[in-house]
Amino acid sequence: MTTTEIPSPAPSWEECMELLEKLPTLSLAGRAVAIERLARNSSPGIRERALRAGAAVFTDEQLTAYLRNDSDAVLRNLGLEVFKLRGGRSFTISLRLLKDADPDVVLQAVLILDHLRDPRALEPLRGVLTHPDPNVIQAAILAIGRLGNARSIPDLLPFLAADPWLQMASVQALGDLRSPVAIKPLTELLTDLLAGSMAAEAIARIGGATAFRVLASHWMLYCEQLEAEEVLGLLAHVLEGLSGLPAPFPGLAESLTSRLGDPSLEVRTSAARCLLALGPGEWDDDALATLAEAGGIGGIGGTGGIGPTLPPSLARRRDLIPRLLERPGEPRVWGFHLAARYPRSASPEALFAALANPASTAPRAAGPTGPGVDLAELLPAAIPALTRLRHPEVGRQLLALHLRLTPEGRSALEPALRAHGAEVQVALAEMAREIDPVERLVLGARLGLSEREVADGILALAPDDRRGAITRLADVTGAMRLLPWESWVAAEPDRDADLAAEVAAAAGLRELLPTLRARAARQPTPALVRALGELRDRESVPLLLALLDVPPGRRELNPLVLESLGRIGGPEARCALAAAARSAPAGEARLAYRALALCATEDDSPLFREAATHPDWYVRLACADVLTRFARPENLAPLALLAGDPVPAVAHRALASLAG
Amino acid sequence: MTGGSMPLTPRPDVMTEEEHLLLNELISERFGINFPEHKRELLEARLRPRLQALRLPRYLDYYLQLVCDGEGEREFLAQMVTNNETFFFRETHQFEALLDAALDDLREGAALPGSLRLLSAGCSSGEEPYTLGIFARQSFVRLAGTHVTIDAFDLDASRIEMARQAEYTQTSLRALTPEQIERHFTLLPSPAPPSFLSAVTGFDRWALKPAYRSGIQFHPGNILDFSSFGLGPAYDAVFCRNVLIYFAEPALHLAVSHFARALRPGGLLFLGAAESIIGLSDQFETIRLRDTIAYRKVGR
Repeated sequence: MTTTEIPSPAPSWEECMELLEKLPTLSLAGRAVAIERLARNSSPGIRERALRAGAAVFTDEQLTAYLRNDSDAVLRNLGLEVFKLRGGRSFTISLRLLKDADPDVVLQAVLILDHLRDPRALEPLRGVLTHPDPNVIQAAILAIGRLGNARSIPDLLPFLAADPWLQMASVQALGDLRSPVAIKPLTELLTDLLAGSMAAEAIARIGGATAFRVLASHWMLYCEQLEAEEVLGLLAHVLEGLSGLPAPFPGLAESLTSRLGDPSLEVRTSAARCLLALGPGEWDDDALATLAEAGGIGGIGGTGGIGPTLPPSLARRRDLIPRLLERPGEPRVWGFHLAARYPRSASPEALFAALANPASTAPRAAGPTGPGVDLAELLPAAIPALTRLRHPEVGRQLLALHLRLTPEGRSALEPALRAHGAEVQVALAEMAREIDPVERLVLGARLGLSEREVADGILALAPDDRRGAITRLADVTGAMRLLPWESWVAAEPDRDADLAAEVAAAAGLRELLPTLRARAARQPTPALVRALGELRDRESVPLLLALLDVPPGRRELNPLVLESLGRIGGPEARCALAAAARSAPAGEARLAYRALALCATEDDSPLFREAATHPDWYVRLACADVLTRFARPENLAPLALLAGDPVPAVAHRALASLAG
Repeated sequence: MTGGSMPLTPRPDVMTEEEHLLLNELISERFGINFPEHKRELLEARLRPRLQALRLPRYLDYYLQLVCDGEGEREFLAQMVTNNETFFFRETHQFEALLDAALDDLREGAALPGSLRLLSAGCSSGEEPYTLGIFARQSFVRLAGTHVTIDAFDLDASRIEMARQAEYTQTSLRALTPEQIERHFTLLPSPAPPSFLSAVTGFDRWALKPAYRSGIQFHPGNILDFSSFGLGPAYDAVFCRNVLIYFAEPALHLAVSHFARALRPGGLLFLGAAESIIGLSDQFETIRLRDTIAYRKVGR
């Protein structure tokens, strides 16, 4: 064991902020001292930044010394957390520390390996199961469980009969291993006063038909003595995870049905989940009402988790689609989710009616079956169902729905429109008079009009409508090329020049450059400056340089000009950007560094080497970018500093180069 | 005929690490709100509609736009990064504690004798200050002889406009019983015939009765800008609930120093249940008021 001097008191918030600001300008040794100070502050934010910086600065030896420091818990914890943060780089040293004479160090090593979850750690961790310190054994059991290799089950079984701490650790680990082999020994613990509840949970996590039978039988035998909320929750979890409907279990459905009237919502909900997952039965209506009352519980399906998702207990209940679609509120959303899963089991008429009949979806009509849902919640479920539907009316229905939606809703509906392109086109032709011409053209373009037809359609629109159509069809490059941009810009420059610039940039229309350049010289705008950069127009460099050279107060375009110069590159642009990096105000200088990084050649390396300790992280990021690009010996020292940068993005970029 | 637009133009690229760091830095500096790495996708999703509206292909372009046109775009940015989740009668035990357990002490040391000046900082569309107002009216016996004024501000000017309008949908009233709704609100006549959209979005709107709007002043403001706290006398209590949880460390520090400046000695600061300023300032002491925690500005 080692000791160090009594740690100095925690630094104030102000001192920490000052240290963090100074950190990139310090030597590596100076950074290590600063990070030790920072780690003593109680603020989680400061501590996290200190740890991240430490991950790039400390050596393995320093960190190991921290782990041995039993007189300073802060430093010991710093060592542990930094090793964890380093991920795979800490693996080898952790294996070595498993053999350390100090049991506390071995324990830290086990905790690091537990965090790393590297399968190669299994054998070394099995070796630790005979360690004399029970804390080490307990941590090793848990770590082995989380590695998930069922081969280790025999190693863990003896601990089921060990002292309570090791017994509970092994129960948890056997649950983590998810192997049905562990169900039998765990079943024997179900009636144990101390470990029974954990054993039930472990069995539930293992899951499968055997786990269902064990837990169902346990429930039927002891339902009066057991915590109904807990056991029914576990039973529901197992039932919902089965790959098919379970074999009937005598008396279970009746026992569960009686719990639908329990005063506790949690118990009622768990019983409802179990019953619905058991398969069709006379309890369905009551169970659905309970589930709706609880708002679903642990749903699946949907897009990106937005809106109500399908409760897992309903996942195999295609028979319930008609009943769910008839109900307002969340059950209707579940009906759509199921219809998307089982398109052949869904009646198209029922789906259309559910979307079209507003009265039955009114939130206040939801009654006891659940709260109302809003459009954002309904659409993610309805769209996949409509996409997979096969019915002659689907085109007309989709078009009607499209016309009723907000722009965001229309965007979401696009996959369904595309999936039924031919049907929607027929409906579009039939309903032509009812639809705004821009909307008609945009939809037509998405559904297969030729580029010529799109261009002709745009030309046929009134000028005000034209603009709206073009912004929505800018990605139809061929059509954009066929439009008379020069004459439009000449006739109405204020109205059309920015639009021309945006379209030229998006569609790569370099033939518009003379027009754009001329307009930018008279009336520069963000869109024009951006387009000249996007199109990499070398001829516009003098114009852009002139724009940079304006008095303070009129420099609002400068950030965009710098970015465009960086995109274009070339000697003149680089020279101007280097000058701006050195002498422009701080806000512009950082952008100049970045822009120069985009087009830098090896000749620019000295500027970036000098800036490797710049106080602005964004400048240092540009330095890391450029110095990693040009492998020269003189770049190594600044890259080493950047690899220890407190901003992870900077450190990662530099580290990647050094590792390479 | 049907108008409107469908944003079929390509979505902006995903937000890179560099873009996230830049935008988060700017948002933290201006508004205090922090979007750490694990919230990168959230920030991306919030800003995406604006990039599409401006037809910008990259998040870096939006950053440059913000740098070029800071003030003009700032309003939009504030709307996109603020979290407006709020509703009437949320965590009311703090209001009860203020108007019961803390009332005598507050009145005794009030900045303006016979008055109680309260502030709701980060008030969104007004649900919190209006609830506070409702509770104050209900406590008229205990408050006899005390004039209560409530100031409220929020970063998002469009939310302040909604607060002044005082019209709400079911979402804002979700914690109220039908009796409470009837007592405090009037159902507005539906402006449009029922439709698929109105049905699924819950079109019904309720207006807060005028009696519950009086004495409450709204203005746009930023917790990080002390001028938002006004030039009037110090406040007796400040409510800033579920706002600081989104703040980065430096902004949190600045916000707490502003609360300390805005409160009179002995004044109370109420935060959300998951928020704490312990260790951040020596100007507050933690006190327990019935079943809630508050921070009292030190000194008398």
